[in-house]
Amino acid sequence: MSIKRTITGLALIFIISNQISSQPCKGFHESKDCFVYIPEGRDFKQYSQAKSALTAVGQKTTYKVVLFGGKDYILGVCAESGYRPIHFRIIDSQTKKVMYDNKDYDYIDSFNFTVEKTQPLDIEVQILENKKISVKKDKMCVGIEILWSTILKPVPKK
Amino acid sequence: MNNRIIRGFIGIALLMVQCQANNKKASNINLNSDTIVNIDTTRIDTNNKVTYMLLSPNEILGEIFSDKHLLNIQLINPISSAVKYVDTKHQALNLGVYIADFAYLNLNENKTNALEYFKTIRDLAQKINIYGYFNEGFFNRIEKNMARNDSLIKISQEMYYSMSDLLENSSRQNIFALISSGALIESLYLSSMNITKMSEYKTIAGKIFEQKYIFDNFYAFTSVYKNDKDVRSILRQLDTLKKILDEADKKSSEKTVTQGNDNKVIIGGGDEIQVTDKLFNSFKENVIATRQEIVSISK
Repeated sequence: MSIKRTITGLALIFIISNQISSQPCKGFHESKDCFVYIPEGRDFKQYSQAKSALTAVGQKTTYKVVLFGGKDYILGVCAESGYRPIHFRIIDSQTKKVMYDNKDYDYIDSFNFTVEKTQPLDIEVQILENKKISVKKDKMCVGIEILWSTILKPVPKK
Repeated sequence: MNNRIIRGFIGIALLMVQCQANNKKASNINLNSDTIVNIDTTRIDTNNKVTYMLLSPNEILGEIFSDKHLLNIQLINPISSAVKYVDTKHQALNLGVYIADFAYLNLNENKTNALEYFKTIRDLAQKINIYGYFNEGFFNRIEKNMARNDSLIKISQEMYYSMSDLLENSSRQNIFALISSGALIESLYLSSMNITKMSEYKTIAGKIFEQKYIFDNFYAFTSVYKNDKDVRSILRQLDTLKKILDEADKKSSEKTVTQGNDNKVIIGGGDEIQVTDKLFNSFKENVIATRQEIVSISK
């Protein structure tokens, strides 16, 4: 009887410790809080691994990615409901030059762009302080997704 | 006797907790940006987490061979070798190799072999304790989508990323570092060996060398787990390849952000990598040797 109890206790410890170690934000990028608008008539596919991470207000997360040249991309970021604005910047990994800052576009959550030549980029994401939010959490989930498509060639005029 | 069983369990419990703690230490290092820029100089910026968005073999092979390519089945690792990989290191590395082979078969729409390779992937994954994804439902999904190549490519990509998620969630990224090493080497091997026409040589060789950036990110990600002896040994093998890729000359133009037609934002400029025959041959030789060490039967 006592062996059974001990074994059950140990099994529970394993299960709990595994639960604690698992990511609390697993699959957040697939939730309803994350939605990337795809322009009508375009076929965009998933590019690289969409990521979810646990973060805090003010905490910066840098996603290192290589974007192949000759493609259109949509970059989308998201966070748990209410945690807006999300500040993101696209930075050249080599020179650290800021290529895009969504602060200049009213902190829009997604960005459509074309990359001419293959290049390594850093995408820096940060949830900014929002004084209007009623329930404040220490930690919250943030998600990032990149979609790609072949470049849409302009339709020749008739 | 009863006490022995309890002591045994406690012993196992302590070992598992210790292993998890060690793995956690490694995964925490991953989160600090400056450790990745220079692994040996650990400067911790606690306000900046770094995450690598690695690419699957489907994406790498799909980029190098943008047009459908002639399949050379002789190049892929035979499934008969799988049973001979008995240690975790070779099982993980070759799981990556088979994932890249599966991607190669899918890109070439070779459905006959694809299912057999998928079964091998599933068996090897189970040997290194990756459960929870290769259930009957997933297997049925593969079988149902055998006729639709686009779906199969998507499933194969999804499988790679789910494996990465599963290992990350159980603090076993060191295993994923081995799997992704095998996958990357096999992708580069299949690409290098697949150049059959001189007319396409320059274009494909250039695209292979553009993978330098992928390689750099991958190398930095893998270096985080260099405390693991198996990861350390594969990093040593990858060092020469990294040096060869770094040797290529570049024609650089200033990076610009402009607004094109329809208000489309264009990130222009960057590097154009120049590949000489000598450099490409040296790269190819090294890829063949590294791949041979991975697929050779473990002793």
